[in-house]
Amino acid sequence: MKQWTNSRVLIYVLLLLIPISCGISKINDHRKLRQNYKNVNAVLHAENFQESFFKIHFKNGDVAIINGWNLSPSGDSLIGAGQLFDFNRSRLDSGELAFAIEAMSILETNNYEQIKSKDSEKMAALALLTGVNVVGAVACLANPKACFGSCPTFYINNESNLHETRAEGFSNAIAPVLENRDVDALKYATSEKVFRVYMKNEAYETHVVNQVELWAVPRMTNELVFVDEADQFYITTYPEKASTATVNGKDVSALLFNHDEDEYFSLTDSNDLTVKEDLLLEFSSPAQSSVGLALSFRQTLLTTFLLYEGLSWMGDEVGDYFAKMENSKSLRKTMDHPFRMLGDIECFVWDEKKQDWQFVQKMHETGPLAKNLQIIPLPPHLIKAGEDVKVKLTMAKGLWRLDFAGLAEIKEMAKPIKLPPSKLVSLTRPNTKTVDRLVADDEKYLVTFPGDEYLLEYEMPTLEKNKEHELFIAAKGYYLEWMRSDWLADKDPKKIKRLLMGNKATWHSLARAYKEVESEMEDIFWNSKYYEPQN
Amino acid sequence: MSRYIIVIVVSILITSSCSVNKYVSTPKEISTFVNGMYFKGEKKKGNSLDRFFKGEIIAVEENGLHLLTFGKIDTVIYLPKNDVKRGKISIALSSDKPGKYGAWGLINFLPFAHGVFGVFSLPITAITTGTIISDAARGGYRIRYPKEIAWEDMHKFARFPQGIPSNIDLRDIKRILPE
Repeated sequence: MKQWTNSRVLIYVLLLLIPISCGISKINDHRKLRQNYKNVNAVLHAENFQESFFKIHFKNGDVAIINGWNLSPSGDSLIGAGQLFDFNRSRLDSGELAFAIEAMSILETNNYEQIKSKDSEKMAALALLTGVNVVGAVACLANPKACFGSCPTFYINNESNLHETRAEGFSNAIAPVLENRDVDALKYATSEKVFRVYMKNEAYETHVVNQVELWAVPRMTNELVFVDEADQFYITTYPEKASTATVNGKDVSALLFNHDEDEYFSLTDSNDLTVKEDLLLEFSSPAQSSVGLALSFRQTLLTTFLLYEGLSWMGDEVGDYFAKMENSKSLRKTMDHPFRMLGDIECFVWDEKKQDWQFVQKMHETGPLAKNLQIIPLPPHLIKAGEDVKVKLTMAKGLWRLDFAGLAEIKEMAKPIKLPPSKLVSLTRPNTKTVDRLVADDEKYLVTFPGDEYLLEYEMPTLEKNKEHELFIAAKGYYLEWMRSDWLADKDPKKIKRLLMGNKATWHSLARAYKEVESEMEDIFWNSKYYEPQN
Repeated sequence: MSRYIIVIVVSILITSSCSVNKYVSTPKEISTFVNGMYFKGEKKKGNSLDRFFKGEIIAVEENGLHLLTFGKIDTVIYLPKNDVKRGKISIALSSDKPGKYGAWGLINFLPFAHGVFGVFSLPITAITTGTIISDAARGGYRIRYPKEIAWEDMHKFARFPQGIPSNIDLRDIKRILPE
């Protein structure tokens, strides 16, 4: 009997071991296990979990594991102790290593509990970088999503006033896969032999700049040159002001007469950010039928608000979202959906014959800083010399700020002379970067961090008499927003999905939320303290 | 007689369980593990020979994944997403010393360790020890697809989470086992 009892105990003990042995391998949430980030700044929000090591996946397939890291003095490399492996994972190097940021593709952090580091000193360099997140103006702290953000900004005379920004580069390229070229009018002409432009990083962003060309179009001194949405160039007369400009019967023409600080803008609908409005323009009879609508415009802070709101809802998974976007066309399309819902500035011209508006073209440029000066050529068959021209601009309420609208007579199309920079000078760091990084559309990039300023110099071609070069900046690259610490608390994966899918309730709540800050957001934005180099 | 049969069965079990999956990291070494994770699974269609797959995840794309299968010559195969029924991504073994379990198992199965109660205890010991050894050597921490992970998230467990670099020929990809 005793023997039987002992054997039963043994059996129970052994039976108990089965579930124990089988139940130890469940992983509850893979997102907490491993995170991918697209760039150095994207790991900033990793301050929450303080890994002691991370992996760098390089564009050529190599991978490095490093313990602790720091930025090189020039800001274009990471330095850390670790190991480098080739694409087949044979060890290439180990010890103190330096890696060019532009060669990196993905940064990976892992949060395995059993190896979780408690050595916060190893992340000292990271903490140093994240430290800038907590530096902000009082206004910014009160309303973090109104904090200043921008893409590379271009100045002609190294002005410090943001309102003097001549152009914003690749404003909608918020991820590597979205890298693109953006052509902006500098609203400046010169006959000098050398032209200098200043490129700045003035926000909490990493700018990865591939190429910055100066596009010059020779013209007579009494002419202008405009670029259209498709980067076609037109030599024109000086535009004529609109004889009338109305929105819902209200005269707004005085706001559109000159290139100045007076802009036409409306407020968003309280319940629906996609509600449109019409701006009706009338121009006195042009002398010819080949004309174009010249428009100077920029965005309000609505898109900035939506971008920041979206990023904050992504929270500490923002790196994952952006990494996924790199590989998924459908996700990229989904991420763009909110901006498509808001739409472009749609231009229509009145067709006397059909007694109806005819759609001509759309105009779009992301960014609230620099004003964009573009032209929409109007269809000659709808324009009669000597007869008034009626134009309608349809746009989302509260999304656009219009500074100038005029009708220019198109003399001819033109081709720009594309000039690479001949000189690159860092005004804030030791001059270690050569100009070849910005010369061609290639694998060489200039990576800039908050506070960086560069002088770019261009050698201008010779000009015929009485001519000067109208200038445009063609910048190619992408940028990455730095996650603000304040945003992490707002993480809400359900909301981000609803935002992207156009969920009515979510968009309604966004409209209400934006309405609360809309009137003050411009002031906070422009007055917020962005990064300034600490000497 | 029956005891001898059990011992033979158990020995086979132990032998098979002791074969450590060398493509999966131990917990101790996971922090320096630089390969793609091991993915083993089942296709929606196929006969018994080609229905199952296993190998290292090289890259995961929107519509399929590249898997390095191991043989005399390592080969990268492409698995369309729509063909994959289910699978398990092995993150790590559950033991830092998976090879050591085999010896403990053998001791457990020595006939004198069970005596007259072997008729009861031996089969259960076989199951328990076999499970532990197998788990240590071949199992461990896993994520099940599609139950626990979406396709779009699997790329981060690939050797190249950024996608296959343009400079790399798939035929050159090999698995080099740790020194």
